Amino acid sequence: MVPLSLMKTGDKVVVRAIQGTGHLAKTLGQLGIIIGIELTIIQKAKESVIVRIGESRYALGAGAASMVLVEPQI
Amino acid sequence: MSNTTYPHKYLYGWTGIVALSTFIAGLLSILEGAGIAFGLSILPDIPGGCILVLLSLIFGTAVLKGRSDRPGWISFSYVASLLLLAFAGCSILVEGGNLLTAIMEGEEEVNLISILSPAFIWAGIIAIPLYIGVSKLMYKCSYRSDCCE
Amino acid sequence: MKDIRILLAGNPNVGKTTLFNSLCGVHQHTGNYPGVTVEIKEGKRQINDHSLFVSDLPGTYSLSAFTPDEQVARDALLTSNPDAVVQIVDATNIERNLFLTTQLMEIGLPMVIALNMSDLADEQKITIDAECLEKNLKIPVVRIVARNGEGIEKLVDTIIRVTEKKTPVDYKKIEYPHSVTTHIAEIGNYLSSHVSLLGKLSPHYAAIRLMEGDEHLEKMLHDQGLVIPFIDKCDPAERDGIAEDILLARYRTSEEVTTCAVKCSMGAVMPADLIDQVLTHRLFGIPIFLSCMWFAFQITFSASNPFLVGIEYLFGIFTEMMNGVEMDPFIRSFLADGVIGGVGSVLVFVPSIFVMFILLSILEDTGYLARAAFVMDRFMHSVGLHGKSFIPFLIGFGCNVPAIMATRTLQSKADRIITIITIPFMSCAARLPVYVLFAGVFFGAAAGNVIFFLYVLGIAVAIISAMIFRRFVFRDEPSPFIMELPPYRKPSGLAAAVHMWYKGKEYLKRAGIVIFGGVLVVWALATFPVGVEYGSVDSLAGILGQVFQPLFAPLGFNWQLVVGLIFGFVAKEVVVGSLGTLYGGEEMLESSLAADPTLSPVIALAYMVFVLLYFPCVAAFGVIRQELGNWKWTCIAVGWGILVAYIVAFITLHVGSLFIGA
Repeated sequence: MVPLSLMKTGDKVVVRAIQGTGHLAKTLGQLGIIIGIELTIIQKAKESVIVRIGESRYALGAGAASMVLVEPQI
Repeated sequence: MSNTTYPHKYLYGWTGIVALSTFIAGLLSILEGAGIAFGLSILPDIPGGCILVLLSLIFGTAVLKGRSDRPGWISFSYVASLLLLAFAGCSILVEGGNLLTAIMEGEEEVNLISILSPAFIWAGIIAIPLYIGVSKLMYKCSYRSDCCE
Repeated sequence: MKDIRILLAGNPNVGKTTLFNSLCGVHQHTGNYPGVTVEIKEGKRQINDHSLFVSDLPGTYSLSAFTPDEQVARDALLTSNPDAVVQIVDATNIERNLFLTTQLMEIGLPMVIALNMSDLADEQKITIDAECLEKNLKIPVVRIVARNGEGIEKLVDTIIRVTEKKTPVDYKKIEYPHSVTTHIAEIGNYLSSHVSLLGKLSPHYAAIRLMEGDEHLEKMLHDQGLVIPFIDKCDPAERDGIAEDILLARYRTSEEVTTCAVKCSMGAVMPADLIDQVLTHRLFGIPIFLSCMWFAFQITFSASNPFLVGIEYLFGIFTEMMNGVEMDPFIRSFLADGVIGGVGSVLVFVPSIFVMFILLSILEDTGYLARAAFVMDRFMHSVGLHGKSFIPFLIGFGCNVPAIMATRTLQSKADRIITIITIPFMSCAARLPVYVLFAGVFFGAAAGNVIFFLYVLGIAVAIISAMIFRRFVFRDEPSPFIMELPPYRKPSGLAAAVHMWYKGKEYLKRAGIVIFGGVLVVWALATFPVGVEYGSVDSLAGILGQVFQPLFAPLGFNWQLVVGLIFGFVAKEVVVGSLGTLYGGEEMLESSLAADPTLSPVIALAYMVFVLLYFPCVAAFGVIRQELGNWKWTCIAVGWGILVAYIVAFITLHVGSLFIGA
């Protein structure tokens, strides 16, 4: 498992864990970023990322992105 | 996507030309602003010149990207030409506003040509064909035809 | 005649406000930035013998209520007991939208789903089996196109039908894990003997909310002395686990329903992805944004200039007409200095405000503003602010009042307080006339640079203040930046113009009355007691100025400038108006200022700095109080501004006099 903030543009990943207090997990959960979901990384600017799930795009700042642990898909 | 090779090559080449012309336009604006005049009727405008140089860098990135990955060059070229055209429009608005103010205040030497003096407009005109071509390309390559049967 | 009360709920940015507009025939602005609706808007529609009362709730992804706007939505849903809830579901993003549906269903209110086929859904040729959706959820689904009002009649009919049904609702059940279900039943049973404490909630639903961690409800029940079975014996880790189980069960439900209903999925790469790659590029992102801002300011000033010249011309004509008529000098003074001066002070800043509003709404409509917030997040984070604070700052350049209201999209209280305290340092459009006057008189050709310096100074002070508050008052990090990026849209000139008109009108109503009133008060203070020379030392204004002047002596302000500051509390536009009065008429103001021996360029600069920083205006003050919710922070916010203004103006005066000759 790797923090989301270390992935590259274009990678497809599956969320495996969300670290930190429950608050972050809840906020991400509302947007549909939950364990088991597949994300496509469409932009990476330093440690911040923009991910896409289906039709929606979400921006995650460096702090949030480093708390989301993912597994790259081939 | 078989018959799109032809316009691709032209548009890719045109991106290079626009990158160069935008850079020159920016440089001229900066030099005019710094007081080094060439006798061209270009508006002296240092911040505007910097923006043009920035756009030329984005076009340049498009050219570099085009050598390896295709969607990359299209997006950089598309966004840069879109911004260039939008900014050219803004320049016309700004100069139009200044001109109108000058006329209303009854200034003696009102020069209608001054509305065309920002370098953005000239760089923008060169980029119009690029914008039209690339925006078509963008939608063609991004939506897969197999989305909905 | 029957009254029907309905609530419009839904995710942010799915077309709720657009539907609200076509339902009620009004023209609320619809944004393309999550969180445009921050308070409940109410409207009405008359159909045959029914009156439909519609409340448009702020957009929310769930009912867990982390941000103030989400709390507003939750409270309305849980406590206002509407006849029906209409959820707008965006066809391009069914799955996430249905997540909210799963929560709304459990409240047990009559429901209708309005399936909105937005432009984007058309463009992507998404096909959705509405019947399948309806059968699965057991909720009526009506297909609408909010933007052109298609399907609205059918929606209204369905709403009426649903509210007339007598049988209790029976929606699709969410399948929670067995252990969770038994605990819900246990708590539900216990709560059914305390129904009176639950208000409008059913015991079963209250039990679910407790299980998923509704602290608000839990605290309320504890305050009533209840010992809730299971919940009170659970440790926090276990409860987090349960909350996650519930979340997952809901997701599974929405996924299951989506798979059946959506017939087509998207291609691999979309235009928006490609555009995002450039606009949020790690190197180009910030320069592109700054370029856009630079043009926005250029247009604001040059495009509003012709209007300004026109307004001045009109006022010249008025004054001439006045001079041609015989009248009592007292009335003449009232009309010329009070009324015309007052209207003039309101009108001079109208063009730039309107242009500013239209540019901001165009930028917002394209969907770019949300990207700008993302691009600026890293920088904002490093100075102790949240990326989302950035949009309120930007709005602050137009007017601080909507800017302070826009902080509601921030989740953490510390982030909100810091943002609200620093917004008033953004130089709003109303401060500009003061700079234009003083910079024009004392700095001549360098006026533009001086004004630019003031804007930059405001930003610098805001950044330093934010850093100080983050380091010494709130010692935690800004909360993580997570934000939905709306789709890109072509901005419509008409929509932007309507938005501009709406916002500008609101602003004019609020500011216009305050400013006009302010100028009239200034006129009265300058005229009375009867018999004194207008605006002289002996007038009430003069006396007031002299009382406070010693306080400002270290900054070099004379009594006229001090009176200007006092009236500046009302609104910054009044500063120029009142100085005009005190210096004997707006037309002669520039020459009188230049001729005043007690003034110099350095003092003018210190004065502009003070005006920039000290206090926004009464309207902004009211909103700060309202948004911060207590006097303690309101006083800190205001006190900080005045303190900083005094210090920075003092430094400006003394450092400035080293460079600018006396």
